[in-house]
Amino acid sequence: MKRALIIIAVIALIVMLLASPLVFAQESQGTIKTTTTSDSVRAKFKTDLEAMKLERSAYKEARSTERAEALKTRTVTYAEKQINIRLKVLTEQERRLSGANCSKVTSVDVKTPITAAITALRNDLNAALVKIKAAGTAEVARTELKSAIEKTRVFMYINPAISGLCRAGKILDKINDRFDPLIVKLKEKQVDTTVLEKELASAESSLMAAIDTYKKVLSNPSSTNNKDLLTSAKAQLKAARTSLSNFKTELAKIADELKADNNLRSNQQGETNSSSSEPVQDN
Amino acid sequence: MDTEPVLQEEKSMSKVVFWLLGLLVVGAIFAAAAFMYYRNGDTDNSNDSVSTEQSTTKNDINTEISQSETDLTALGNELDQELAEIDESLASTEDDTSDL
Repeated sequence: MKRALIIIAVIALIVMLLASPLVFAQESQGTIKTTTTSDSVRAKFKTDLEAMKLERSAYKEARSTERAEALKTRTVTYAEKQINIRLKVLTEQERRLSGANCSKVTSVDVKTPITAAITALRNDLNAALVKIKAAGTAEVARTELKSAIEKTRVFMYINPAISGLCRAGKILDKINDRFDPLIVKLKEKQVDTTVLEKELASAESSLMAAIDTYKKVLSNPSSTNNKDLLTSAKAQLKAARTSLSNFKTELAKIADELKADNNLRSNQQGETNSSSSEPVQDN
Repeated sequence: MDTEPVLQEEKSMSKVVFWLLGLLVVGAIFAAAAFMYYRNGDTDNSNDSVSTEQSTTKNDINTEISQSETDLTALGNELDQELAEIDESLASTEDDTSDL
């Protein structure tokens, strides 16, 4: 009996020791993991892009030296590679749609415009690939390639638009999920949140503007206006960044005030306790 | 002679009951520990004294503020990354068709 009780106590102790990290572990509460620049699609395809540059030089040289049939073969090969790398990039972007930046975005619908753009671009590139393979001359292949690149602009406009749309959506989520509730809690504690609210509203509006801009780019990749649109998206993201930075500065100020207030309370509490325990001296 | 197996069976039955009770005790201890932990985390606990409640709530807000500050730093970095991506893309030559 006694031995069994000891065994139970030991088991209880072991179970508690094993389970304690699970119970007492602090939840990370969705703290954002910083991504590095190597996450960019361009970085992922760095080797392919370098190879493409060499291919481009070889193609340009061939245009002035090779005979018609050889030039056609070289042009078709080069054009196929150009189209294929764009298809690969789109597949990678599609894969990323299910990644952390995109799949969990709930504030705005990022999936629909991105999926629609990828589908349309893929169709255009595949159609161009068919025409290039069937091209009778180098000139036809070259024209088809030129038209496909100008129609899709995968590297110049689509990549930054997809990435930016997801990122802006993710930041909006963060505002809704963390910063808005934080303001509510601070208000409950009678903290003046005027500056916080102003900066957050400003960040939200800049992000929404950037999202709209990115959607416009995605809906019309060949538009000559896209360069200006991306420049304006950049300005909108910069504005959002400034607002969030101001928000952070104000938050730090509030945190300091709260800490000071807490310390004051603790000191007052300590003084009250010690004065009540000290005997009162008569003068 | 016949009482021997009956005794044996009773003994094993009581062992089972004993172990079940033991497991119940372990579960109860664990549940109590978990309950205590969550109870401590609950800022609306009305049984605590007012000053402890205020202090706990303030500490929670301080923790939230600190987590928000960490998040804001990360978001700032992400926005910087996005700005760099736009610059890089606009300056890219992959979609340039002028020499085709």
